[in-house]
Amino acid sequence: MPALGTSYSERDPRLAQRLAPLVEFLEVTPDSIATMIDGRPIVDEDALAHLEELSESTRILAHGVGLSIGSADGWNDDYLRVLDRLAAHVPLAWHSEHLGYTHVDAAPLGTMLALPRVEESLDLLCPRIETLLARYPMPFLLEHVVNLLPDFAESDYTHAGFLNELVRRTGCGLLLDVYNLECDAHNGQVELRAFLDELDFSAVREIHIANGVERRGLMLDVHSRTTRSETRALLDEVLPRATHAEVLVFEFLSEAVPVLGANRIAGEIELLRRWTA
Amino acid sequence: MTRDLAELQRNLTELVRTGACASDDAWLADVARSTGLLVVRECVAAWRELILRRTCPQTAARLEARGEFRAAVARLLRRECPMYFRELALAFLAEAVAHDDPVVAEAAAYERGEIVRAVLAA
Repeated sequence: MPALGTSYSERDPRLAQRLAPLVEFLEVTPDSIATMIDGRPIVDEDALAHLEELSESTRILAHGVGLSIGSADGWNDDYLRVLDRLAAHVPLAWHSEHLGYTHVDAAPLGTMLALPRVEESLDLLCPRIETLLARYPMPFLLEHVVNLLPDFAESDYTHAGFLNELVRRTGCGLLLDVYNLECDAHNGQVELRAFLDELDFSAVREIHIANGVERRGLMLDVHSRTTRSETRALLDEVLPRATHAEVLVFEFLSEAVPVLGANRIAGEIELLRRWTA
Repeated sequence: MTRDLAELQRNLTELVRTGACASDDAWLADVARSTGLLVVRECVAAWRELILRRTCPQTAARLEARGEFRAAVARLLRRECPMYFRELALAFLAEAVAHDDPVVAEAAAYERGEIVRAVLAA
């Protein structure tokens, strides 16, 4: 069974202190420990020092949001500057990013959109993944994102087939978010059985689990709640296949901490510990 | 249907920002009519409202009391959607400092000053 991990909340160092003894991995979003000043990203020194201290007893993962690896006009270099700073101070087990884009023509979209599963996307992504693998001496994983928009009309690949092809062409790993998969299935984007049967699970190094909200009949990956039984049932189907997965991460957003509370987050980690034992 | 990713992404950006786009592409027309796009646009606005209520609470509260907060956020998002919270707040406050109501304008000027001071101190 994989080890357990959870999100690092940059706004609440005491929460990280409380959760660190309960897990083997803490996952930090590099974007969240930086702020933009005069057009340059400045990394919070206190957060860096805290992560460095935590890394003595807990393995640290970087999970990006703002690289925008799928932007046609180029990815977000500011994100890489932040990741450079983080990696220089904190030993990272690996880093990951979402398979989507948050910037268009260098301007933030305010959301993350999925790429069409076409050859043109592979041509864009593969050299970038190879650049990341060469730049950072650690594995790089990609996470599929929830797509709320109608599926692109001329896909060349299935969802799993597209991920498999990225792995085959570049040697990157995969981060499988069980809740995202559940959202996509609920929203009519993915047929679960076919996805699980087709995915190359040997590339899945990390699994995410979370919960969110439903709006206008669509499930959203807001990561604002503790997990529900349906998601854990899907996890039960994924775990026996994901024999190379090293960690299961309970993911929550910093914005959800005041509502969730430290006790419920700790309780969720303990629940997942028992669930996966 | 275009498979040019740059064109596709620009059209989708337009749809996210405004809910419509000039292209006559059939798939983009489907996106424009979709519940998914509506939900994406609602989420973009809701997150920014949350950040602005936290980053410039005085201005947000005064605009809210006048029933103008959501419309002000929507106007901002049609123009731009800065990624970092201070940039977002400064872009939002740039309009609010010129508000006709001096109570709103003064709150915005004060909060803009506080954010600038925090930036300079960083």
